[in-house]
Amino acid sequence: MMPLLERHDDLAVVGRMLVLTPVRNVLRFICIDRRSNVHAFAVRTGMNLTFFNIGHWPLDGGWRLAADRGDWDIRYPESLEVLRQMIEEALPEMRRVTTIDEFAGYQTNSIRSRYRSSLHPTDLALIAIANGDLEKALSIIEAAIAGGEISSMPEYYEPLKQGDRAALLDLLREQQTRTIGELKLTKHFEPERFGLEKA
Amino acid sequence: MRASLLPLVTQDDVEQLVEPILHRYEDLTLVGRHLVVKPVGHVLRFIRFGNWIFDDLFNVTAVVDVTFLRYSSWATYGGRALYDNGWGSWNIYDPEEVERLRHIIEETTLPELRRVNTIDDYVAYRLDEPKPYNTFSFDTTVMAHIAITKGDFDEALSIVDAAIAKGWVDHLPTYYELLKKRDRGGLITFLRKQQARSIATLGLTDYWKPTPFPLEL
Repeated sequence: MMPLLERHDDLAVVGRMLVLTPVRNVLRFICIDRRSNVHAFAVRTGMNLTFFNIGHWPLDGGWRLAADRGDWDIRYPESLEVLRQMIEEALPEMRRVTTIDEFAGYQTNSIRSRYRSSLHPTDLALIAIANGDLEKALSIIEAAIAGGEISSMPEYYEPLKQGDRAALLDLLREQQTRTIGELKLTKHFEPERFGLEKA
Repeated sequence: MRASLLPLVTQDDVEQLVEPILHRYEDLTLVGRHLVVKPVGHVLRFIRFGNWIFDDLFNVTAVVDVTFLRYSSWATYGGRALYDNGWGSWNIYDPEEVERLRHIIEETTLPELRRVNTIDDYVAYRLDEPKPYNTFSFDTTVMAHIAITKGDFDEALSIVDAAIAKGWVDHLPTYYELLKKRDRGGLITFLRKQQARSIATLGLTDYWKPTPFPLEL
């Protein structure tokens, strides 16, 4: 993967992940994962929001980079060129997703979510909170409660009901700091203002 | 932990096993652990001698596949295991069993593989898979590709769109835009490039006989 790193100075290696830097509210990466066979590996893209409550690398929000036949295998150098090309094609698509709204838009328009929403109502509500639209957040969450889609009340529900912007902001920042720490992304993280702060 | 008490089968073992067969037929070649029937055209026919992931039992599988897909390594989609001892794996340290295996390969498997020459033969072979193992109808990637090779663009598009609707696809295939535009030339180039690349990946360049796609005729 060295040629990729040389060509793209916004790529960083964090463990098994190729991360697009800087990491702000949106996290974009390519995961190069081991398979049970020592020579084989799987590759996928991933996108998520750093202020979500995530303690491990979230492998959703992206797509698999796979050939039609066979696993990626370090013993087949010819095919690794195909993989590099697939990554080259995936990078511009991921780079286009830089803001919270672009992320939400991407998730709603991606093939998977054309038929089912890939974002849970609690996520959508948190996005609305980050954007400072508390009314929208509350209506999403109330509708989800009424629809029985929520098993445990999210931490932000009480401050949201009270319209406590300071508490919500603290919560977002705290969750973001925790996520960045857990994923060892501190070096690549650049804090970004939320819509909630600007409003 | 190893599942078998027998030593692992090495490349040398495989070479010894197929040596007499290779000697008798001119249309065969051994590529790694794959006994390939020549020439390789749109259809690739081979017998795989190997061990599965996690499983160090020695299995022999006959595979027929199409070369215009994107390969990243050898694969055994729709493979049919050769066995007559009830559970699929072979003990190549038993001379009698080795003879039995060679006999099956020569008398049953190779003639079956040699009959599969065209894309249509391939489809018929895959459709003929025994019931619970028949995965061909779910293999939308290969079905879409085949429709394209025949110039049935509407059919190909409906296969891809149906797969998307079912959530089987998480990213648009590279040829999707070309297909939507019914770009015949673009699709031919795409298939040619992908095929050449797969042939190179699998190390089959010397045995490859380029053939026009039905859509070019």
